[in-house]
Amino acid sequence: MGVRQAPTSAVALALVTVAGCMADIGEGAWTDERAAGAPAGPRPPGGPGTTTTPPPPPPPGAALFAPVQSPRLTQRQFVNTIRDLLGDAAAAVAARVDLDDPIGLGDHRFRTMRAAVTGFDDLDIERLDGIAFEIARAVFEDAAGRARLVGCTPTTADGDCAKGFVARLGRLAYRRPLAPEEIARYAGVMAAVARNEGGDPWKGLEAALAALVQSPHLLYRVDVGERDPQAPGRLRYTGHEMAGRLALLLWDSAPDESLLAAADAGQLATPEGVRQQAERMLKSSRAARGVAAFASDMFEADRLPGLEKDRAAFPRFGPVLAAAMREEIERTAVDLVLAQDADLMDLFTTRATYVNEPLAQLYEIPGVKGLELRKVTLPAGSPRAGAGALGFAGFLAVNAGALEASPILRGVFLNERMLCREFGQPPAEAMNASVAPDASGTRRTLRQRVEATTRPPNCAPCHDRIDPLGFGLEPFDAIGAARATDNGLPIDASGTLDGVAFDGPASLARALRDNEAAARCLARQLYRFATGHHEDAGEEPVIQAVETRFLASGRRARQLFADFVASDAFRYARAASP
Amino acid sequence: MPKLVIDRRAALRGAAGGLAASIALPPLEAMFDAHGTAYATDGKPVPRRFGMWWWAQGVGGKNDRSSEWFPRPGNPRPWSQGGKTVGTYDDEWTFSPELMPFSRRDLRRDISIVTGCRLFGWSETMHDSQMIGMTTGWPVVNCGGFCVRPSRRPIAHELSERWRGGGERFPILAATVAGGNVSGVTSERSPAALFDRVFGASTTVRTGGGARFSTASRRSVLDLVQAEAASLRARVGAQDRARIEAHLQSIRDLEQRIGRMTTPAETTTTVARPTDGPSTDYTGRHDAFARLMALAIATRQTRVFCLTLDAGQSGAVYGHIPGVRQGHHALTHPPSDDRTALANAEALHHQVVTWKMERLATLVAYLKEIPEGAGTVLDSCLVFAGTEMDNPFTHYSIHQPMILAGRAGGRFRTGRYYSAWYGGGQSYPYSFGGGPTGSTNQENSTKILLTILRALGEPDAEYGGDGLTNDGRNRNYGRVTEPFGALLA
Repeated sequence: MGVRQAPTSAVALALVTVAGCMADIGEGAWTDERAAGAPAGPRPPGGPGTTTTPPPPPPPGAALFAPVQSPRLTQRQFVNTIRDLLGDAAAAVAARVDLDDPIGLGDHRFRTMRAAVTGFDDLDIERLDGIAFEIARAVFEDAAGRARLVGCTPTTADGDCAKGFVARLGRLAYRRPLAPEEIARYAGVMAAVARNEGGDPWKGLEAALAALVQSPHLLYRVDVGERDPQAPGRLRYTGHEMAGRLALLLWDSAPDESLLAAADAGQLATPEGVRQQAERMLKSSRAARGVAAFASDMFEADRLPGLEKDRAAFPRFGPVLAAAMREEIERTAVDLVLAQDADLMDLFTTRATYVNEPLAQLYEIPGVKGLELRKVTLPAGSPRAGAGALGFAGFLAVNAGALEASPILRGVFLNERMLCREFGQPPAEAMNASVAPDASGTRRTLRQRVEATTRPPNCAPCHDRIDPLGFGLEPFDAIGAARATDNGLPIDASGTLDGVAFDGPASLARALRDNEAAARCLARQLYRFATGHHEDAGEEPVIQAVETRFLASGRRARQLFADFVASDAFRYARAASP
Repeated sequence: MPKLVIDRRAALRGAAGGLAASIALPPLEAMFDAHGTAYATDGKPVPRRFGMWWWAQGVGGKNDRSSEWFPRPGNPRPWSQGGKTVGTYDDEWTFSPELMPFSRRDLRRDISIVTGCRLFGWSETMHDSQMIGMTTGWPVVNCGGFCVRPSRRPIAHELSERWRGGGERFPILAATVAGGNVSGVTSERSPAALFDRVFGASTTVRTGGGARFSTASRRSVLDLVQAEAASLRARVGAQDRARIEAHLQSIRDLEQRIGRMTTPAETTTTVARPTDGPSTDYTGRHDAFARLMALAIATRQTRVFCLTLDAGQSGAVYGHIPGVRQGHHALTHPPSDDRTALANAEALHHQVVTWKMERLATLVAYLKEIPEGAGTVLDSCLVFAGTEMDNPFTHYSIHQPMILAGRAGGRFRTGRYYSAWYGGGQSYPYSFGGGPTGSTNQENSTKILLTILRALGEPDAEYGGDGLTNDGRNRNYGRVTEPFGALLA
């Protein structure tokens, strides 16, 4: 299965960092820091081969919390918001707008991190304006749907019916009540449009909806915070800001009326109030979207649609299979967190997964028909069985070359993403290393070639940590299919992780499941994902509190989310630069 | 009446679907003056335009194929600036194998080649940092692990913001062929979508459901959104405020675009709507984008474009080149101990680079084949083609390959090969000399950005920024105070 014999001309290794990812310079209206008055300061210490987590301590008095910021919505959040406000037909229209780009290494780890520093530029704004009118048309063309949404018949475009519509829908869209002057502004536009369009008040409402959908109050999660009387050095999020934060994290979408009512009543000012809402929200079907968004970012599943593989070696790899790989990751995570409320570290060892027919064929599971994914138990004897997330074909394919697997990419991924052990940039001279003697014509495994390449002393400090974890996944090829041999030779998938020996994906997965650093890292990654930022050392105490609570809870998956949102880490902020 | 004549055959080339738009050409009502260098209506000179074209992963191979891109010297002579020899210039250079696509299109007099610049400091190590260093001249901001982001706008975005409001419909048009993006703004990934945006329908902005509303109503909606953005701007912190301000500016510009260019102009031409092929039809997509960018410049839709062929550690598989089966980045990293594999990889990379140069030559030729005034559109343009490193097999960026095309309205010197390596001896293949941050006998690559700005009439006395390198030394690796005098006319 998969490729056995790489042609000599294509035995390249995906060396050092990334293959298959596309770099870019802040697409999506990245903001020039000059405009923000921020210094273009030096990068943090940490040169070649250094581990950059945890970062060095900041000066005394530095922040303890993530900075307050107003990230823009991701594509998923925008579409989910439209769905919850306006229904599936409108969401289908919204999904046509392209607001995101694939994330690659060298870019922000999570979409939420990019969303915190990029805005919308000319092209985005133009696309949003166009799609907003299309969404409004989709809603208003359907007379019955329109009547349900508006709930009354407007006789004038700025009367109570029309204003009530704006107030009710705007509250969900803005994640807070609209101020009277905001409603008045809408009323003015609705009246003007109705006049322009032959006196039809419905046209006024349709235009108001087009404005609402492209309003920056919807497109940005506006977080400003307020001084905390208990601790003047920090900011706390207001009740309505908390509602927006909870909804966008747990549902990847807008709040519902219950959540906003809790904010109105001041119930989101306390950890108990937040937890109560979070537990309610995690029981909702909408919670699947929040968990899926986190899982998708964790495993870089959004890179799957654009992934290229060698067509001759992998004729079955294409958009259909890639889509199934992505859905497998998201649904497995949703099942573990929400349906099972499992020990989250079971992610690494679960034998349950989701497949459809193309993916089942890749996994050699008989009897699965059709494109709908369904839950299956991986058969014993498969190298995937017991390897949990490490057997996700999507993760394996993203962290591989077009033709060959990449122990280095996989090893970097497991270190950085699953153990929170980051590496600095490779030394500039590293790439010029040449290794003697010449091994041309020697039949070797990929592992043997990687070992030869990363042998030089200036490579070893990092690669001694990177490569072994990647070697543990050698039984999987470049699209994640199982393989028994490599280049006709037996595969050596043995290694150690923090002194624990493993031999193959399942035992590597067990080593990760039982590794405290890996458990802590999952909690830390949730912090990064939720705050949209990579922590400074000053934040260690609040992060470690989240980690410790996670360990103490028996690493319960759903509780991690509830505990996290009720923690100081999610409820407080440090002030942004003035 | 003089008209801009766009070769109809050229404009239609590549149109599979036969869809086309008859477009108005506003500046071309615009008769040129007797010299053909200024619009007769207002006497204003043809504006200078900037194009950025980017390719990933440099040119060289690890061994003797290193020199297949670098021009063959003809008669190199020292160039002095401030009483000091700072490089060599050569007007009698000849084409190297990888540059032959420019020869085939007779573009030798339209381009200049620059080598010998070094990317100093932190930006020297890896793809993303190098790309940011080359396009911004400023240190990166580290955002955790391998994550880096720019602290300043890339040059294309910088110029588009400086020139915003100058009468063009779009401050910048950006497109991406095989992934990646060095423009600093959102880029189009579909040639058909770019066509629709710039030339489509009634040549207003894309209307979507907005077509059901009058222009006045659409403006009312945008007025409301503007008011909302303005109220939001007042509430948020500095960095968020900058983003909201940009958002607000984009809405203002969109509002201005709505309804413009709907009246018949005196001159029209026909632009073919390209049909998007498969996403892996890299040649077709690139050339369609290139055609549209050239037409957008010619019709004064924009003064700035950015076309990214590929960027960074590209995973694109250039399978149209026989023998290429791996992602582009993986292709350039064969095992260090396998000379046969290395030789094969170098041979394939040579073909990939040649194909890339063919694409760039195509873009330049498109600009050149559109007449404008007494010359061609290319005359008023300056196209900067760059890459993040000279050698992807080593990741070195100490001999940055650059190509510049067009004369920037007479301010830029073409036909020249300029080497900024003035340390004496053989400049290529090279060694690290003083180490990755310690060489003193080379020019800083940021100089090309200052040179570009000067050629385009910008007043900058200096460009680029300082910062610490990763070893804590060398605080001055971005900022430069002199352009390449040899390239300014």
